[in-house]
Amino acid sequence: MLIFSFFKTLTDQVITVELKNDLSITGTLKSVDQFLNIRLDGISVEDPERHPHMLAVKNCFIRGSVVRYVRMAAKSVDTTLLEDATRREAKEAKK
Amino acid sequence: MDDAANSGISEPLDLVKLSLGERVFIKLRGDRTVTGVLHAYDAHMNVVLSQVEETIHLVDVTEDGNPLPPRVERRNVEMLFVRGDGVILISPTQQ
Amino acid sequence: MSGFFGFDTSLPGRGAAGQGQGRNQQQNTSGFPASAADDAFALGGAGEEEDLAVYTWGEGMGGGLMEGGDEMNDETFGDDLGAVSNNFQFSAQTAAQPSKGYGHGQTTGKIASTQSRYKPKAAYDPFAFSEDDFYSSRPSKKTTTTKAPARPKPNTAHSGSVETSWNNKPAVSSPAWGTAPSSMTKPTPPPSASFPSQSQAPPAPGHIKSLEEIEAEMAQMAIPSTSSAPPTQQKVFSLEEIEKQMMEQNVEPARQATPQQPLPPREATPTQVPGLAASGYSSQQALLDSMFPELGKAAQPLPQGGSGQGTPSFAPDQAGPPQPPRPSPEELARMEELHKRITAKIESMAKYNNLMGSSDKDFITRIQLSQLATADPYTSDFYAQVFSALKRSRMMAEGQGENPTVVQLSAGLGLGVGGPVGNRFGKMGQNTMTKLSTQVKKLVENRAQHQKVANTAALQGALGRVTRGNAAAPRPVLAIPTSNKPENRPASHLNEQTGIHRAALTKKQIMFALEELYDAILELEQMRRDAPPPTAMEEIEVWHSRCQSKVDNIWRRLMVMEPLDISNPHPFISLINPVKGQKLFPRLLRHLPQNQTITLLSLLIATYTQLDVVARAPPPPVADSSLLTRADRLDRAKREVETDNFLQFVIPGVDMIINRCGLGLVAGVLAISAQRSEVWRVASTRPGVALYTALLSKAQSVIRAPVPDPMNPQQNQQVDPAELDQWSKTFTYFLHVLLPHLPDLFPSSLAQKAAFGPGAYLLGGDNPLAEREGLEMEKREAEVWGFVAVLAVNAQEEDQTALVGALREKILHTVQAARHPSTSKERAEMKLRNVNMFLNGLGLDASMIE
Repeated sequence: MLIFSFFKTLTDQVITVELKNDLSITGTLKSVDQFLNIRLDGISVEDPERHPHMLAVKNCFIRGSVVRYVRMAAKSVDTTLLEDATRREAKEAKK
Repeated sequence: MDDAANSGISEPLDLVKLSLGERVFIKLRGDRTVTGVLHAYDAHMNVVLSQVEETIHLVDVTEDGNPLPPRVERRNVEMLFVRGDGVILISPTQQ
Repeated sequence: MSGFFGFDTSLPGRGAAGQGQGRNQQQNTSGFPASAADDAFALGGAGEEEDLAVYTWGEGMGGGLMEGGDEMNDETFGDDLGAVSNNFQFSAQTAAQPSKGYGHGQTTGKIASTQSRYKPKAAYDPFAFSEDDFYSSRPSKKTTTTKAPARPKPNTAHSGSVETSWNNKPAVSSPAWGTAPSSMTKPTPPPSASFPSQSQAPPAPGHIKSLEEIEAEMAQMAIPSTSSAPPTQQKVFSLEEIEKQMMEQNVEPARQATPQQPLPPREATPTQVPGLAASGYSSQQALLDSMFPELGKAAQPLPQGGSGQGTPSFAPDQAGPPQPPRPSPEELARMEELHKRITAKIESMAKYNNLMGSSDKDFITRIQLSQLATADPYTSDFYAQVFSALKRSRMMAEGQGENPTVVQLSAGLGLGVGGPVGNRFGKMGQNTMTKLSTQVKKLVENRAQHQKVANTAALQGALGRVTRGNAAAPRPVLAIPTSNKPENRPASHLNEQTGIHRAALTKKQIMFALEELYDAILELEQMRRDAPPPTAMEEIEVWHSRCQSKVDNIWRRLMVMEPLDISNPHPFISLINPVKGQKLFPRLLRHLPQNQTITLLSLLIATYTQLDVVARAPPPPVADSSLLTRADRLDRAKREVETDNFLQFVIPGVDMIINRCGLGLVAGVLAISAQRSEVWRVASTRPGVALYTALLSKAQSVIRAPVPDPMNPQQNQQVDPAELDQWSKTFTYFLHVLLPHLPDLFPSSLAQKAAFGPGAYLLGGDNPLAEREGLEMEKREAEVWGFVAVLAVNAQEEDQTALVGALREKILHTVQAARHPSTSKERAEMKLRNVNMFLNGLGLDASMIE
């Protein structure tokens, strides 16, 4: 739930989702679920020549399992808090 | 002291915890490696890193099928989520 | 087996009864009451191919059936056996079969169940074109099974419509994906459309019927009276339909008594428009029907018509179908209107149908609920909860000054260290340094007001004409005996426990210790949050002692009390070296009692040179960074970042502790530093400059303005003369150790030295550094100017002269550079401001320099 919790705080931020097929989609994160499925609005594709079929797509739902990376702005993450949350989660898992 | 440093480590993820807030090296599927400061991880090896340098190792093949010497591509990302199913190993960086 | 239908199994064509028997057992595993069907198989001449019958569910068998024993079937079952094909639909029959128990329908039942084996899937759900559909249409099946027994007659109609659905898969399946509801809203097909579709069904499957036959059926359709329809159609209907009608007559005589009225509704009851059912529409429709029972009856022909339209062989412009009696037209119109509206609504939502099967949805809902249900959102959703709480409070406290605690977003961390470019001066720590320099500026202003005019004149001379004397040659180093140190010097014990040596902590040990500390701190912070209500005295007592023991635990883990020279670096320094430990520092301080923080400060200062940021401080900047190798640049960048981190996370805490100290303590720790380290080396690093600036300015503010400090009432008294004496001795010693090295503390001097060799001091604005880096350089210089300013403020008069002498060239050079035409205005201002910070401390100003 930690990463889910993390992604929730990125809602309405612009992120770039890089898929395992090398397609990179930039858009505004609208929602995420516990499977880390991602809904993006106002998307644009990094390499439109390679993926012309994406040109017409304005928003999309990305299955979590096809994601390789998600890039985001550093300022939208509180790293200290995130580390604390990770420690808490690790401790919970041990209980 | 030596005992103390090992007594609390009972599972692999405990070792990852030691690197929280520190720069780690992560080997990924697809001949990729990333280094970055570890801010979060979970049981799936999903991780959140900052100040990331991604390295992709590529071997190009000439037209007659002979492999060229390996070449690397580098990218820098300020904040990156890496999905756990691509992670092969996580280790602290040497220094 | 066949006895179920009361059917004589010894049929003419049944040559191999034994085979049929064996096959039958296997086939029965498929779960339907299909005994007699085997006989029909054997009869159909498929007996020789029994393997096919077992393993093949394909269409070929149907063909075989048609070819083989059709004449026999005619003989046995009457005409029109061709109506049954391999496309035959099973489910409708299952509903009917249990209730039928007499001879006439046997043949039909037999054939129907045989056919059903060819379509095992259809047996479960006739509308499941795909697996998804299969899930989604489950509710519709329920509708069928519950309603069919109650109203048997509809099954006749139902089976017909289902058959058409099979015949016209493409036509039907397309509505299944979203357009189905539209057929509901079309009132146009004549209510009797159901009739054609039923009668159509038999011929369509095998395409065996001749055109004449079809025409005959059409003619049958035209008969207007519903009541007369069943008998007349008997020849056209498939046998199983007839059988059902018969059965119905037997089982439900009461209903049969008034066939006209309920007949049309029954046809509609299994609202099994195939497309709708497949799209998951049927459940909605069932709901709708339950809401408007009468309407359902009235509207029943519509769905049937919809499916009927899909039948290619069906003549749409067929005239005069039988019209069932209906409710009053007004009422009907009204309800139809309502129904239409609701249907339209359903239709508008139906575009989302079929995205997921209902079982998928159930599954996901269950998981979501189970995962969201948590006793403590603070635990399972800690990050999001706290993050949003912090965000709110940040937004509320916007612009109210920064809070140097965990709350801070590490905003500047975005620059990748790996990046070769970037700000080689770093950015972090500027806030701290700004704060310190503000402190210094205040002192300087304060001092400037009290400066005697006579002194000023002397110093002016020192700068104006080249005066020598004691300024050029610093006094011999003052030796401060250790016994002079204040008794209360908290770190004194550290020196007593030397002797034990051991290896420094390994990286893993450090990391482990830090994680333990973090866990302890997190627990402690949680404990502080969970404070009992102030009224519960006993609980508070317990809570306090628990917190205290936690604090003690943390204190032990910090290893501050380890002997000073136990290892190099000291264990505590090892902990504070990684940025992870530095981030912990301010959080620790909030929980430690003051005496422990002062002990900690003493240790830190005593071992300051062991800090990575001091021992491995970034090398002085070079004039041309392009001369550096990539590895060199990366190393520099890394060290700059480390320094920035230290200034950001540790120095504010250090400053805070220092500000709690009295003059005696400040003198004590400065003495420790002077005694244990080469102060000029420490002072040539940014953390060193920051530390000394903080110490000196604190001392001066205590001496100069013993303003009541609301935080520390005990400091309100006048400065203890003994402490003052202690301080001045310590300071003088410190200053004189430092004096010869003062010019080298300035990064610009070092940069020029490195670039052009020593002596390349007097360089104007044609500095090869880029303007941006130049400005950064000035900022960095400001830190040092602040430090020398606070030295000046603290210094006695004769020491001030020495100070000016030591910095004379630097001052002159800076002022000249500021006045140089090629220096940008912004940078010139910064230079003057920097110099003036120092000069003002002496009561001088750069404008006095010619």
